[in-house]
Amino acid sequence: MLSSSAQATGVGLDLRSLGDRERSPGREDASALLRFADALVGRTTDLDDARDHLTDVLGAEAIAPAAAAAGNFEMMNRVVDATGIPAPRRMDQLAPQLGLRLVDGELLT
Amino acid sequence: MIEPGAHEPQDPARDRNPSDGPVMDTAVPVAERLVAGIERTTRQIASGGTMWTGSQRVAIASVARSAAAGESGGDGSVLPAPARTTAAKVATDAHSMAQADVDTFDDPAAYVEIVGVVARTIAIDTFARGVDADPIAFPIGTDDPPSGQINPHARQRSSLVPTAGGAGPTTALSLVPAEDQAQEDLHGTLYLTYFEMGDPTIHKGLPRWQLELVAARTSLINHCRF
Repeated sequence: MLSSSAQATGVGLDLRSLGDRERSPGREDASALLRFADALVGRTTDLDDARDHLTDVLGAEAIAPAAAAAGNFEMMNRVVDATGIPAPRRMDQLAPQLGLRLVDGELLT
Repeated sequence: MIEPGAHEPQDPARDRNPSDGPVMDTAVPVAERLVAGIERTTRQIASGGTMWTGSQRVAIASVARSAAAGESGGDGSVLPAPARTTAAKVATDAHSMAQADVDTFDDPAAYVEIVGVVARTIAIDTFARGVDADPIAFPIGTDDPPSGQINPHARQRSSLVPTAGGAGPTTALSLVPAEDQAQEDLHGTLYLTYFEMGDPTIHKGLPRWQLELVAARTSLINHCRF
């Protein structure tokens, strides 16, 4: 879906940066959003710096919707995992495009 | 900007009166619809559930909140041990849940309700952390008897719990209609409504592709394949 929405709005983005964090997404806004998500969801100590950086790049108005999107998927990830909803097979096919490897059913970076 | 709440709770999961105002205190601009939606979620969690009372649901949230923060405990004294264990495990290791975890409960609806309450608690806590606010307090939970209202059409299919219709992200909690509806409400608040999901060019605070970028990275960090 990310690929579709990026294409629909004419945004060029290296999706491999999602799984391969050494790789640049090719856009400063995307890089700032990924850094913020990493710090927020990963509960790292540089969340304040990541928030400040995202503010510098996209403005303070970007923080709440970005935090909300992360919050929503913290919810949905737990719901589908804890209820054992089968993962879509297409995810296995998309793994290389996202900078990931599928090993023994696990997605690895 | 959101005005500070009326007090600073010592235990934010359990120490708020229903008449208190919003409790998010942040310098980050937050849309009114987000504040309202999160307030609805806290009220819904503290109200009587399907298999658990409001006070038990707030206790489930408290245990989940502590576990996610890497702390033991939370105020789960009103909960049976399996409920405490399940709340903590869904908060920290949801991908490891198995049929045996569901079967710990006499009725899978009790498990489904815990999953819903924990998932929404983690969602609003993540949001609060993201906007540099304290954890959002819950109203005092009610002790009204649980409703017992489950979906009579739910059947065991390809997931760990019965669902109404095919098992998927939007039907995962459908055994317990109140949880199913609460998830849909918060999904629409924090991200997109199920209807808005069909619009790849929608702008809701951020353009769709930016929202999805954060969403996708969140799922990868959580080792979730959706």
